[in-house]
Amino acid sequence: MDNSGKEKEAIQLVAEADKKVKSSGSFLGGMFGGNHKLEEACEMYARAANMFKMAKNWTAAGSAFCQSARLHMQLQNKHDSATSFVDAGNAFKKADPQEAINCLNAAIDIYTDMGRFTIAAKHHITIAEVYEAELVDIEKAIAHYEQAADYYKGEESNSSANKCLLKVASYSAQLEQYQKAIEIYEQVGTNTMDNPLLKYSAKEYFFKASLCHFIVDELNAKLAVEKYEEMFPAFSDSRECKLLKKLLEAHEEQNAEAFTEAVKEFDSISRLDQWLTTMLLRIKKTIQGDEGDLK
Amino acid sequence: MDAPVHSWSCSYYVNSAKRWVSGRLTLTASAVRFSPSSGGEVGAVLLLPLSRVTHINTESSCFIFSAVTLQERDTLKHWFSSLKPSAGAVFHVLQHFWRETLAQHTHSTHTPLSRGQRLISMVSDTQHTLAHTGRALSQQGEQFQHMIHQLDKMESDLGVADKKCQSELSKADNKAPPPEGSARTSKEILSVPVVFYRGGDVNAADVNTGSLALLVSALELHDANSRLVYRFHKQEVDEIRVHGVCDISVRQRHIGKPDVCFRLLSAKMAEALCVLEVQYKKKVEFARDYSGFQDMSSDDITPGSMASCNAEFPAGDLPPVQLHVQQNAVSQEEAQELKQVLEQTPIIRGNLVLGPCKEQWRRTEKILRNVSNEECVSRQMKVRAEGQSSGSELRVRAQGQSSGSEQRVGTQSQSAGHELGLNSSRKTQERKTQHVFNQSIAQGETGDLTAETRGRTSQSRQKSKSVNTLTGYRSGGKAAICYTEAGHEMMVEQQTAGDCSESRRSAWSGGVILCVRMTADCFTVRTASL
Repeated sequence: MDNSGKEKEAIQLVAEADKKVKSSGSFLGGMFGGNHKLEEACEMYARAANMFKMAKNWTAAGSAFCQSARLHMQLQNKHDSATSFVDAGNAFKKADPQEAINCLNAAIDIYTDMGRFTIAAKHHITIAEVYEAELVDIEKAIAHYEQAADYYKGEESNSSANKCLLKVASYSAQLEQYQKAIEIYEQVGTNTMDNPLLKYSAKEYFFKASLCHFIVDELNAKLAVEKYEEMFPAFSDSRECKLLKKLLEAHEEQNAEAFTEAVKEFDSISRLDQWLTTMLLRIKKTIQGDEGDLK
Repeated sequence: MDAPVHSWSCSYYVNSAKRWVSGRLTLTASAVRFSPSSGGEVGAVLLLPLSRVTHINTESSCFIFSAVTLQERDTLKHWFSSLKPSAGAVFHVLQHFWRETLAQHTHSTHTPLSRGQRLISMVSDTQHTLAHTGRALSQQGEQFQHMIHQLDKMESDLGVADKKCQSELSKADNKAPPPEGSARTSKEILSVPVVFYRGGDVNAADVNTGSLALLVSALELHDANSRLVYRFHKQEVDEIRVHGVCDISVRQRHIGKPDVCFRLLSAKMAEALCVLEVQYKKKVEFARDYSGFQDMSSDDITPGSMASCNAEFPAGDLPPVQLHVQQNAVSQEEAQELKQVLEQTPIIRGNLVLGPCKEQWRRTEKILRNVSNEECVSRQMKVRAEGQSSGSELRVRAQGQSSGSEQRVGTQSQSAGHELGLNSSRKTQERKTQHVFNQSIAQGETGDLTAETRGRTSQSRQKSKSVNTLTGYRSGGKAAICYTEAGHEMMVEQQTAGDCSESRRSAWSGGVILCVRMTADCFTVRTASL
């Protein structure tokens, strides 16, 4: 479908809206219904933005929404302003991720100001995802996930908070910040093991925490596994725990083959995901460190 | 050198020269090689063994579009861009081979999964799904809670707005001359004589007699001379607190003013309460000191009263309380059954919600059915075992050691769990998992009754004598296997013979029940035609 007509119309609307904003700013305009004109301009920007969206001109749509948001702010319509910023962010996400982040940050400021922390946390997650997928800036993504987790915790949304924290832990481990990852996995694991719905996941968190321990130090891992078994008896029966014990044994004997065999056996039954693979590879490297270097 | 697996045209960022070089990326089973396309720079060939790679990622930035990066152990990062056909495709292939390095360098040949392993995989998959389901449910629950919280907030906001509107309206009404007899235009439902205290304090000195009139749109309080003391409009009543059968208080809250509250006592309050409850549904609150509850509870709970109740019955007659207790007595078997059913409950709950667990749900249902049949089947078994004459008999010697480490570990921990009492929920969960585990073993191995399995089972029994109940269940609805402690019996109920090997089909055809009698080192399989 040809949407160029829509785009033209949208450009026209934006021009008209700009004119209205200017006239409301003038002395005479200010005297005769300045606010009314601004409201009209707001609406026109929003309409224009939607038309740009239809024409898939994301940048233009984003900036029109942004204009609308700023006018709403001027009119003290905080909620509308925040919504427009979010719309702008969503539009920019497809064209200019950095600008999307700026818009979402503006929306977050408004929402936190209004005490709407849950929604602010949600947008922090969106920003983190943009950093994760588009900009590949994992450290910033972690910071936003942490902020989101804090907000969720404040609002007693522990499930959502845990979800964010787990992301933080997984990325921290990838960035070799193992202590942070261990703390989070232990904390989440302890929180979930008594919950009837979440207890099935607890072993996974303890497993991951143990692996992080393992990369740092084998003895720590051994102690950690014992601790987790004591805390959560079901962990000792899990396949993950059995794998850990086999790996610890293999590591103690510096037997790369036994290590590989154990991993292989586990992998044949339930596939290892990318994170686990990375961690296990890192552990394996500590066994055959010398051999690898000689290659 | 390994044979190349795949190659792509790409460009590589040379760190030392700070520039991109175009060339070809070649992947072999154990390494990644980059060779520049221009012949002059042959020396710049990169050979990176996959075993040195610690991380593979797709990255992009404002300057570099969709690159694949290989992180080497010593924090050296290799960037490959302009990949053809796409960075994603190359990434997936590279990642696959890199992943495989984890499981490389073993001499063991690749063997297909055994039936038991496949079943364990299935069960672990279902467990995984269950965990996901749990998380999703928990989050949804939380979201619902927030919704409720927000709705409450909205409701209270609306309440305040409503009140403000009302006060504005009443101001406007006050300006107009009071309409005479307008109150009486509302239909009276009921009028009861009352004693009322102003301010709601039942110990106050200010006590008056009068009557309470319940109208369709209001509550009116009249004094002894039928003069109106106060009129609560229906919307204005904020709370009707019921302190006792004859004792209520009516409260109207005001913002910035003291509340208007009357405590009303009336012998006929019960009649009025019926109407009030219907009229003011949510506003009627039963106070904690509501005497109606107190009376009931005091009689029921005191143990002394029960004793006296029993004593009233003449000797010989069974008191109803005792009869009740006897009916409720739970036999050992029933308790066992109940325990098993309870063990399965979390699985059922997880399954009811999400479709992907349908398979497990179906199987759980089967197990439950088998468990409920257990009692009668075992009775039949005993009879058959004693008077066995028409069936054929097959005696098998258990053979030596076996490789069933999973089974061994499983049974041991089950017995350990048994010794601990298994009361806490944690234990229940543990046992549940264990149960599923054992189930899968039984499922996988007993279907064919191979020599190895038999050996394994007998060995596990020798190791842990306290095996209580292991319920095995074969997928596809073919058979159920139960091990019971009592007579060291293993029962196999064969419903159809579709899945068993040819040699046994003849013996099992026609819905035959097999009875497996177990001694220390051998077990007897008996077939009996129905």
